[in-house]
Amino acid sequence: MATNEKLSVRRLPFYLFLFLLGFLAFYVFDYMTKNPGTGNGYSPIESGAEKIDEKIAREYLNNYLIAQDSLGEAYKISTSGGKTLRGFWLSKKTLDEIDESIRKSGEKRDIVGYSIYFGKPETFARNSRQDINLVVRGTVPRKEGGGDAAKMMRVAEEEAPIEDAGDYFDTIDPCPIHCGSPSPEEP
Amino acid sequence: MTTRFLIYLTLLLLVCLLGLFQYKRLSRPYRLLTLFVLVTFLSELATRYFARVYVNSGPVYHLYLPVQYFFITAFYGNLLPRWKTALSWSWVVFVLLVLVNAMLYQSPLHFASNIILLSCPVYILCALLSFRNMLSLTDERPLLRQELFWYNTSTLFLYIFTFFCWSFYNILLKSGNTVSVATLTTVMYVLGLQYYIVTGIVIYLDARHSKKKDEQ
Repeated sequence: MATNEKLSVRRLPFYLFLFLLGFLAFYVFDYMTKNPGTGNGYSPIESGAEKIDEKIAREYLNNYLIAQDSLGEAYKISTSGGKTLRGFWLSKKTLDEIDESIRKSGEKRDIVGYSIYFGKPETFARNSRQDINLVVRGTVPRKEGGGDAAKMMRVAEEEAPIEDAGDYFDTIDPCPIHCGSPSPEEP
Repeated sequence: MTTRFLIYLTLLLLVCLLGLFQYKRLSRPYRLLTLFVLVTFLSELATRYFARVYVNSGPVYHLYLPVQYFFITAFYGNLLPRWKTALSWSWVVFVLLVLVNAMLYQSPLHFASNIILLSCPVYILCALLSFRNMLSLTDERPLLRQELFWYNTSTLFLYIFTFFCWSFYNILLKSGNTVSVATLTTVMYVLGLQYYIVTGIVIYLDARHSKKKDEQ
């Protein structure tokens, strides 16, 4: 200090405070480096997805097929060929094209997943059957804008911290015809 | 970077430069206030870096909030000698609470709003005690020329509103009332601006007061 008026603080609590602040800084740094995704600049995107047994998977698939087949034609989710829709096959090429479309759009954020939405190619008036398709888009971590609004949004955690980016893709091939092998058994 | 954030940063820089240029003339508490504005400016710059590189500025606030608590309570500790010891030990308690919050409730990637809710009542209490202290001290200057009067008023305005804003924020967000959320954000921004403008004014008033005293 240039003058005789020195800054005065109680020493013991001040040193303890500095020690704990250092510990806090270490904890924050450690947390950021240990959490996957944060090291390369992105927040980890949590997902409830986990590996399940084949037996359970087949049970789920069969439960769905039984439920669908118990419905009338107007309610059953079907392929355009009129068969019960079992699922979709998403090609690696399509995924690569989605990634490429995000990169081309100038997005510097990592692609952390894909949003898969249900669509219906024709209006209900033209086609009353429930033959549906999918609309797919890549997702990136939600960008944090400047200002308090963005800070505030991160408190509530009402929504996953992701947002869609890049082009939209459709014609995700239905199963049947594009079924994996072995395909889910018919009920 | 948005225009309003740029205005905020510019204001912080101006107040900081004003304090640093007058630093030798300033009395002890106002030196702390100058350093506080400097730390705030650096911290806000760091948030932009984190937002750009890590897409998350949460970690900065986990470190900034205890530092802010230290400076504001140290400022009031210098003005309220009877409370100095209690306020000093509260730094240790506060930083421990920040640690617990970061470990258990709001991770470093989330904005530490719980900590703001803890700190605001302390700042409000300090401002009120400082007002009471002003009544017992004899200052010949008119009230409106006294820097503490302005600083305490500004502190009360900012932190009372901030406390209630963060208390009800999640409820408003859950109700989907985005208009109210945006309005709250704007009011907080304006109150933040007034706080740092007033801080600049009080630093200037203290420097001028010290100069006059030296001349006498």
